[in-house]
Amino acid sequence: MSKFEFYEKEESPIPKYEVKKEISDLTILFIIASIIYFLIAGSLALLMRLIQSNAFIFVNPDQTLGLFYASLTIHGQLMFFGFISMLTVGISYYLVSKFGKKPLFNINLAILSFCFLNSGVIFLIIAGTMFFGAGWYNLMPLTFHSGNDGWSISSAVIFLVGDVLIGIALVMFCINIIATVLSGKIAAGIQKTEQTKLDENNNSTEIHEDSINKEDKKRDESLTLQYLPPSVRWISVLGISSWFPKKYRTAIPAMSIVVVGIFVNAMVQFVGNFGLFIQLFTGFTYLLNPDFQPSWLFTKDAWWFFGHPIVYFTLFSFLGAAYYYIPRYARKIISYDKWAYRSWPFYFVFTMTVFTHHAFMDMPNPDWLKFIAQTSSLAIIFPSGLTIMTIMMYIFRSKISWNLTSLFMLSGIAGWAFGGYSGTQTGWWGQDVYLHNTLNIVGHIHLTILMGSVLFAMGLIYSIIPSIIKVAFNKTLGILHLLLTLIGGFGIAFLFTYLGFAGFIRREAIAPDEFAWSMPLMLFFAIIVGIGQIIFAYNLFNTLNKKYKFLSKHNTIFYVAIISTAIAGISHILIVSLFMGFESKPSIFLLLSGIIQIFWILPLVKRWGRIWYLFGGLGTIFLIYLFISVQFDMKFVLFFLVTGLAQIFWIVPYLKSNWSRKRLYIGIGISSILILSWLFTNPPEKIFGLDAPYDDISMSLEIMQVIFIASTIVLVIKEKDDSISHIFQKLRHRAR
Amino acid sequence: MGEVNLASDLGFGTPWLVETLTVAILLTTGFIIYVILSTRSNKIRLSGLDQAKYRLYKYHAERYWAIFVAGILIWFWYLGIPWMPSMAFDNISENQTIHVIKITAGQWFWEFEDGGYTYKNNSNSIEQAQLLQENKSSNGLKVNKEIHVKAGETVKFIANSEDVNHGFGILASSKSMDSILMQMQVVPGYDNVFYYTFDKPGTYTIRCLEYCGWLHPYMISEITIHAT
Repeated sequence: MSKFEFYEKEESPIPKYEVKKEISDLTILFIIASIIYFLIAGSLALLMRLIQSNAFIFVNPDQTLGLFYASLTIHGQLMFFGFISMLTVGISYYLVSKFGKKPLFNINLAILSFCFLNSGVIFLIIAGTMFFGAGWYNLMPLTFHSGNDGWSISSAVIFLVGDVLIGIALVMFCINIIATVLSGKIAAGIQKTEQTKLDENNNSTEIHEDSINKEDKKRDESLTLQYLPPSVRWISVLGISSWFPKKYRTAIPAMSIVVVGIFVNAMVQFVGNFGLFIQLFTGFTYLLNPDFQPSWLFTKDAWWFFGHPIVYFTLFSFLGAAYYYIPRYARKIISYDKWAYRSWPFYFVFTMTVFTHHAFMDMPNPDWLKFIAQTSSLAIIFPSGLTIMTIMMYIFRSKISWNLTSLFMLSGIAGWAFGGYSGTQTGWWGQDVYLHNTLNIVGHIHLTILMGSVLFAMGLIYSIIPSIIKVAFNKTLGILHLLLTLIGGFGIAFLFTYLGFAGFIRREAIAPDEFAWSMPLMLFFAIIVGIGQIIFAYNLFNTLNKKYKFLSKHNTIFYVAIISTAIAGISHILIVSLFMGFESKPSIFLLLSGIIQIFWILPLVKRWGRIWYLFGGLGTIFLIYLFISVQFDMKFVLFFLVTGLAQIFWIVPYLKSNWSRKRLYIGIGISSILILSWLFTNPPEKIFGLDAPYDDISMSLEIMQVIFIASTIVLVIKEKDDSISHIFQKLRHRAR
Repeated sequence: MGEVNLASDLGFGTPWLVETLTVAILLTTGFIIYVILSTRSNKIRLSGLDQAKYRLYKYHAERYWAIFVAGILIWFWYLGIPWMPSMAFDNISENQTIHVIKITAGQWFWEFEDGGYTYKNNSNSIEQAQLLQENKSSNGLKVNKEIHVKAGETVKFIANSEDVNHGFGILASSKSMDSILMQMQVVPGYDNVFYYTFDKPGTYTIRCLEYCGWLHPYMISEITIHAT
């Protein structure tokens, strides 16, 4: 038996429904993108630890502070949106299709959500390079009042635009999931398998036997595609029916617990997104109209209406999956377990109201809000307690297979439980007064997300990827990944938690003398976690590289083209609105260019054909030419073009092994001098205090346009469609 | 229900939090290890009647667990009511004298005005307060970088922000960082009010507890508590 055959036998998921290739392709792209952002955000965490340890400082202390706070801001948002939300969205698409036994409501909407999410995250990174540093929750009006020499308004706008795009992507995801579950037929009926009693002869009436394959078959057969009336469907998918008496409970068709988790996630986040949009609307209105005096308290509450659900967003889809995967590996597959479903109505209600505990320290908030805060904060613990106990009962006295997925998920349960305890303390008003905005909160979030959601997600990746590509991960590397993550992750999270008790205030770039001893420890644990994730990334990409082929070779190029043209188009509009106004002719031209670039998403999503890609690329080349001719001295451009080509040329010696080392060293030396000369003549102003010949937005925009052109060139050359040849045929026909 | 006499009696305090979290983590770790070890037991191969028994056992365990968790949470909720701001502050008698301290926060400074003494049932506005003890400078209001109050007296902090959100926090000692005695957010556009009674004389560090820009770590001041 080959390595994978064993793995597949052990871990192949049921139901036996083949998810469409385009969905699994998209899921893998989501996973790849998320891991890349994870590594970037992790590097920023290391940078923060280095700054706090005084190991990384600029000559100008303010710039060191700026770098710390920009890293802190982008680390937070990148981890939330670029990494774990990206994973949630990608994996949810796959799982809802697999366990709902149906394709997604709209695959194009899913593709667009991928592109918007990535575009938003790239905007965040651009804002970070401009030293935007208002913190991950971007507490307005700090966004626009950075103080003396802080970040610029343009960086704030880019950051907010990033959040707008992310919000739109999340809405697209939610709509897609909700529509998939609520429309048409869906796999249901599993409740019929509920058995809890012995028969009259005192024998078991269990449907499952001591053979996992038979259990799988039974369970798969009990999930049949069927149409459910809306009321029944809602009661079923929110887990409400699990609280009914058995007679009614077993009469209402139940969907897979995985679908329930993902649906509740999408519903809660759909509602929560309104909070984000209210915050962003307030921010933009304040920016455009200085006389506008919003209630910053309401804006803050609105943000947390979004900001707390997004934490659960990183968890619920994976938690639903854990209810399925853990008992499966524990060989205690219980087709319908009412206790597994009973948590979800509570999650659904209290996740939407629990945000209010973030406002405990906001004294002007009304009493009723504080009352809801206290009640919800404690009430949300109830379903969490049920979930943890149910999953532990699955493992209890089981013949569990300790594979990577079950190990990661069990670790995730531990991290989530520990994070839950610290959350209970901070969510209790009388205690929060001692803990709010200390590192204890940072410890809580790292326990809950890094050691909870992320471990669940990693566990799922270790199961889903082999199922899709039919190649097993390297288990040794997987175990190493787990151990390093546990040591480093729990190390840093507990350190944060207990330092918070001792009064270490969060978001302090300068570590106080009292806690200087903790800095090397933090750095050590952060490096351990980092090494673990690098090993994971290597294992993932190496495994994918072995066999996986996308349905369309050029899917990724299409997505890159969509993302780059979206960012370039939005940047053009931003430049006009921020710096130029709408009166002049150039501004109208740029505005139109931006709109056309955004429009070009459509031909790429709909795959209208090579002629569209060709014109998109040519138009963008023209825009870049205009930019260069206006902004730069052409001699300067030519110099850097030539030196750039020279640098690229040095790839040749690396590929051709017969070149002597001497030549290689000369080449590396010359390239290094050229790169350094570029750095010293053209760095962003914030870093070296020198004027750059361009602004950050323009350069980001031009980079995106170059990426877009490269993508369209590939598409024009490689895509097989008749649009261009058809035009030539017509032209020839007319000529005759 | 736990009685809260003073606004400083909120919650169980930091040492209790450290102890309970540690105990909870250790118990849970023990439970997880117990469950893991149970998978190595000879009884792992459940079949037939054993499976049904297990199922019943599981359902019963979860039912009682659910009742237990719900009970604990309701008890927590009941305990927490007197600590909620409006309830805790309502415990202060209407005829009790209050020392009013007005705070202005901005990027990146603290400014304090001693508003003198008043009764709790008076308006929050300092101008309307009945000053029982004159404590004015020549220009009407004393503007200090530091605050001086007496141990045992209830202080009413009224904080405003000139620009962005800040966090008014008083630490347990004069160290640059130490465990927190009290805190509140200073939301721009609002009177942010917190009552507090200091038990012991000494100097306590004041820090901004809400990130408010690059120089946030430098937003430090202190309060001096004198013996009665």
